[in-house]
Amino acid sequence: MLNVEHLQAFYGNAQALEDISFTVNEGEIVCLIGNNGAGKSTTLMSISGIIKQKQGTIQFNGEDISQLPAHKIVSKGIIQVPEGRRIFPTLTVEENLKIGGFLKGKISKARLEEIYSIFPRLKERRKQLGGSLSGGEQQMLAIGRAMIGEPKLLMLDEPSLGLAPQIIDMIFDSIIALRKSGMTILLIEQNAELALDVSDRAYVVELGKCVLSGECEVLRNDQQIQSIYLGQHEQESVV
Amino acid sequence: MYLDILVSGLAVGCIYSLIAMSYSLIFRSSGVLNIGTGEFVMVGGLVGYSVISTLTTNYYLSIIIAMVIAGTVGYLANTLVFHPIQKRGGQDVHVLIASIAILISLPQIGALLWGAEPLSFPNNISQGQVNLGVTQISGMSFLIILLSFAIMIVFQVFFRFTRLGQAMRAIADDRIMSQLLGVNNHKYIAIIFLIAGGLTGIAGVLLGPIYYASYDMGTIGVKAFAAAVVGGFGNVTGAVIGGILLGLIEAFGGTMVSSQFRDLILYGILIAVMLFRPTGILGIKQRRDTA
Ligand SMILES: Nc1ncnc2c1ncn2[C@@H]1O[C@H](COP(=O)(O)OP(=O)(O)OP(=O)(O)O)[C@@H](O)[C@H]1O
Ligand SMILES: [Mg+2]
Repeated sequence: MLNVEHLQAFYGNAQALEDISFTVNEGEIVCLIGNNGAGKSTTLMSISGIIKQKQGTIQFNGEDISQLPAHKIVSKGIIQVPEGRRIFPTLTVEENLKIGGFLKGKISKARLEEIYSIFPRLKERRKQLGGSLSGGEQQMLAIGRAMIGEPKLLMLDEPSLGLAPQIIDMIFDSIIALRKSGMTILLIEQNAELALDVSDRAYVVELGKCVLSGECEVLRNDQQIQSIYLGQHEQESVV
Repeated sequence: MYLDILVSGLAVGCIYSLIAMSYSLIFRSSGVLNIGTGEFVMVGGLVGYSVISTLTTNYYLSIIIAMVIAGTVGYLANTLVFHPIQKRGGQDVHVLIASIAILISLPQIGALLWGAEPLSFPNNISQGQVNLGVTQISGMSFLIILLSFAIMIVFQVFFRFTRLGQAMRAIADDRIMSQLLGVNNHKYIAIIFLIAGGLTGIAGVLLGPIYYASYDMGTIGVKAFAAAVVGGFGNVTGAVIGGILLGLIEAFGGTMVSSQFRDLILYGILIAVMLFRPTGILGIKQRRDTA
């Protein structure tokens, strides 16, 4: 479905991505894991067409989308929930949701109710300004807002960032529910354990390069991954 | 007497409000601080004058034509100047200097086309009185106030309830996120320049009959800019409040304290407001524009 090859990206003169290649097949959850500054968010912003200084190929369903403007990429069905959620602070919860379906024309009550049934908390707060929500509520709204646009590929950038454990569980439950409904998802996480649990396949990004990839099952047992990303130090694994 | 001052202050304040809204609409959506906004007012005033003195005697028609022409000038300023500069990596200072170029060059073009003499609108437009039961007020002021309030209400409704208006507010909040949801920022920012230009065009034709139209009438833009800042820069409701406040301070200060020091009083009060509320009455809203 999504095929990225030898992607390079730049901020001015600084090169942020050197060589990123990966594939997401229909119906899969694929995750990119890696440390701070590895280039995960830059990868998503490049796919979404926000970062324009880039080289390499980005194909979506066989079509080259690397030169398209951001709104055209959304209309192809690629929607991103960016890092930090970026809720519109002066729009109400409901207005935020409606903007999510901007390209769908008028959003019906029934469609809003579908989202509210997944995140009932949003319904309670629907008249409240986006800026007044808690972090967890903002993440629910950000995911709901993306879903209203009926993505074919949903890209989530660190949905667990800064959230309490129960909220993270609930957000990840909703991600699992989404995948059961057939959604294709590209997930970014620093919390590798969480990411490997819900995903089918994973790519490890370091300093702007994909250095490792494989089935999550396999990666979870990989020595190197365990020591660097899963926080299990060698002493522990010896015991 | 107080009523007259109130009405004329309110009328002039409404004109400031319309121009201040233009400043704020443009700034909030595109990040452009268009110092040349006042010159769009001049375009409106002079075009309105020409229309009313040659084409038609219908004042409303002259308002509409001036609105369309000034709107077009605003639109072109964006497509030919501001947007290309931003797209090629120009920063705020570069955009600012381009808008200063507009501020300086448009009046020269105005003088070239309409001459340097102040041009008076026909007297019959500004002479009428309106009966308000117990008292009479200037018909021109009445029209300005009525029309301005109607425009402001239309804007509130548009931004609150329409899909397009909500998308424009989304752009104003976060210019990256709006694109990530499929909003074509470039297109809607162009429309905002068109609307904002149109607002200043209306302001120019409303201003013409109470003063005159001339190539240098764009200096009103400075006061309107001050109004926008006092109200809370980038905030459209703030622009309305700031404009009306300025008009009233100016009218009462000028007639009751000293007409000679009218501007001194006005800007003195402005500085005092800024000292107490540096971000303006309604405050500045943060706009995100980086990835
Ligand atoms: N706006 C920017 N301007 C310049 N350099 C940037 C910018 N944003 C990111 N970078 C640089 O690009 C590199 C990749 O950053 P990116 O945000 O993609 O990392 P990340 O993997 O998402 O990290 P994190 O886990 O902290 O979110 C880093 O070296 C970062 O400093
Ligand atoms: Mg990141």
